[in-house]
Amino acid sequence: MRALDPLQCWSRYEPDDSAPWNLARVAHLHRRAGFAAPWSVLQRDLKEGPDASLERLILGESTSSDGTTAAEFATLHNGLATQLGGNAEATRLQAIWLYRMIFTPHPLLERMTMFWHNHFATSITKVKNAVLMLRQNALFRTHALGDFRTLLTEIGRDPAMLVWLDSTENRKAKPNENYAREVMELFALGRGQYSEKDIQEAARALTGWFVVKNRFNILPAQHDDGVKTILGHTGPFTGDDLPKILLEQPSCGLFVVRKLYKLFISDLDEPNDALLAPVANAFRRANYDIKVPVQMMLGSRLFYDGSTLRKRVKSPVEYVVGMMRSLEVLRPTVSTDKLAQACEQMGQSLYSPPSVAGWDGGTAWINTTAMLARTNTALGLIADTGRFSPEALAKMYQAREPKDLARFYLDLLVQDGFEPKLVERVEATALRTKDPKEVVTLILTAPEYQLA
Amino acid sequence: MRADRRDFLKGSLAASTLMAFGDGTIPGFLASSAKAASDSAPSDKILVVIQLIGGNDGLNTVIPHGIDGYSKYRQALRISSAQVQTVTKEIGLHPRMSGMAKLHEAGQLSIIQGVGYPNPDRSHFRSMEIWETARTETGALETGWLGRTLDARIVKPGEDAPGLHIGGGSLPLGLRTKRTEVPSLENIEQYRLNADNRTSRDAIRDVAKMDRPGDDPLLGFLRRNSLAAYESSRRIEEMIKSSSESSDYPKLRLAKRLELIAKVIKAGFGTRIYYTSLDGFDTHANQLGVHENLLGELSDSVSAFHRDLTTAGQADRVAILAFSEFGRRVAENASRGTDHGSAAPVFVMGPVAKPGLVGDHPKFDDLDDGDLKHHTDFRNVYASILDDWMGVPSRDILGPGFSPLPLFKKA
Repeated sequence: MRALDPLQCWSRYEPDDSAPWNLARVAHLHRRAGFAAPWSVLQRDLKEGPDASLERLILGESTSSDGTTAAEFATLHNGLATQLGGNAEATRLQAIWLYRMIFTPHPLLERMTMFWHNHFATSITKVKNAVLMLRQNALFRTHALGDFRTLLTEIGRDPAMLVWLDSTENRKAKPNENYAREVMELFALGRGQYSEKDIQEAARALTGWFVVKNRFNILPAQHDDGVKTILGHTGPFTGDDLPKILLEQPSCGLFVVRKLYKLFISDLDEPNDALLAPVANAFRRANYDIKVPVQMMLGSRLFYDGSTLRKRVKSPVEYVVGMMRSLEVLRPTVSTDKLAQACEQMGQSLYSPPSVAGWDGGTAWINTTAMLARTNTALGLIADTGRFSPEALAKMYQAREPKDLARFYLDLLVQDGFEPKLVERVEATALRTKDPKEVVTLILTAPEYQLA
Repeated sequence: MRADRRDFLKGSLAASTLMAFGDGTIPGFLASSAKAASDSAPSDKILVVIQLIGGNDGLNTVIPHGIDGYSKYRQALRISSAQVQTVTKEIGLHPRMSGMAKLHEAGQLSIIQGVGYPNPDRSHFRSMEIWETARTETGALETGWLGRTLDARIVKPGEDAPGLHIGGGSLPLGLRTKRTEVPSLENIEQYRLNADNRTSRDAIRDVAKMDRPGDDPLLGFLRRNSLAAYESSRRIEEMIKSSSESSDYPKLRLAKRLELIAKVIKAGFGTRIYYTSLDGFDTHANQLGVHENLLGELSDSVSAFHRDLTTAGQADRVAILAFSEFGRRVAENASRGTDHGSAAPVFVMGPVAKPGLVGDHPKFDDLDDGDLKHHTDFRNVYASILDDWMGVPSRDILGPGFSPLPLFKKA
């Protein structure tokens, strides 16, 4: 597929014999654009087709998994965030976000919020202020599927970001280069698209920008109002001019689209510029409306091509949130504090990425400790009979006999991802042990289940 | 950086990290374990690498307090002659590094000054890649220098993992191999499979082990990691059970990691390369206090580790390398911090041949755009470790042209 003309790759997916709209593709859409989906949603979307399913992911469902309306859910959760003090523990913040991901009526919005958190990676370990982290999180959510120009501009004035990159005191006498460097290297352009001189000049433009009492402030006396030359533009630039200059660089759209490709299509192969060009061009033509490339990718032939399915490693958050959503562990759900700890053991602490470059992702999620943590988390859930009964869930969807139950869990969790020998093994286990727990254990701990 | 790191991941996929493993699915060293201790000669030399992440300010670590220029460029951050731990008349260690100063007195510490590489890159990510792969050309990011060292020797069945990563997060690039999966653990309590019975333990393992005719490389990679996890956790649980003495280590993250390494060494593991890290050296603002704590953590942890190994009679077979991806600008910035720079000192601890300073301090009157110039390539340091300590020809790992420094007695 990737050998084809890029325009073909990004053309709209229409089901055909080589890529039918089947359970595997419905589940694929929900794994990549959300965090996996319960059986009823898979069945509904299987009936309604790819366009309606994608549209609902873009716009969000009308009700959340806890029964509240989408509007009530948003109000409740936005409010919850403001009740926390600055000293709240990272685990608390993580738990609140994980809860939101499990119950959200708008999974794609949370996925994209997480995408921007990884893109503008900021850690509470240094910011040390929960309120600032939550404000930043709200900023990501507000623009998650909105305007990248606004997002890039706002993040430069975001107190959490400025504390994180030591840019709370940009004095004229000795400019601090940290934010200037990272905004070019990691947020907008990518390595090789700027010079050290561009960084030094951009740092001068940023002088006068301060964080005072946790709020962004401009101190004109500390601003260097001389002429600077940044990426070929010359003028008496201020910090607000910097995003404008960056957004004019041809590499800017491409850089963001490359990261979206890693999120939605593949984080294993490195796409060439020609493949990304149609999406990057559409992104720029749409004045950096983030919805445009997202919709284009998730509705494309390439997205649904057989070579794209199950070629991404689930991140720890995808793994645990997806498990809860698929298995409908909702009333009561597992303590999200515990889930946050589990994610940490698997190598992902929300609000605490390892560096300003975010998580490496892909195969870097996998090492022996992470595999043990994933297996142990699945085992812990299955042992928690008060929260999850594999028998009851299967019964709810009319799978009663051992063989039906095995089929149900295979369809729900891995669809056609198991080879025949493995399917036999799971079915044999169901028949032999009559214990639905064993069946679910084998599937959740299988290497195949780690893939999205 | 991400693009490069991804290139590497992709490279490693294509280049066989993920390829099927000959006949078996279990790396050789994990296949059985009973006779491992006797197979891996305990006389073999061990290397412990401590990566100081973020770019350590070399000038305030190995402090040239008596050299003209230091006090000119460092005002808010200056540490005076009276405060330092003496190494020579002009140069001293940071005041909080008393533990390492004692190692120096005992002839167990070499400080290699002015280490770097040509055309220094001031991106953390790129510079870490360069140090960890020991390759300065772009695109050559498949394996780490230690990964290649591990790959240089075929691991025999029944041997322990030849390398261990102690720490959270993903496996460092430095340890990336083509042939073996290097286990990665933060603490022993979490490093076990919590299956409540043997049947389900076996069933889980069997599913990972079953051959997949489809032979998808990504799936193969996941399967091998699962199996390596189940086997190495069982083995470590077995070995460590016996050792439960009380701890003399300070309550610091690096100290805990080194303590775990010491436990594994003392338990007779055949592992020869251990890798861990200390993060937080990216001190762009208000550096003094943060940096002081980090150097204190490094020095106190290493010192406790060395004491522990000495008591156990193991100190003579362990060398420690501590490095950072770059030093910092000579001139401090206005936020009482320092920005990304280039050349910096590297520490080697253990039974060194030439304790004290190795090489001159880089000159203050010959800066490169505000940065110290390096005179020693980091690969010369690696070459000494490989040739004269690990007994692995450095040419095979680093390529030609990097002669060893006189850090160790010739192997």
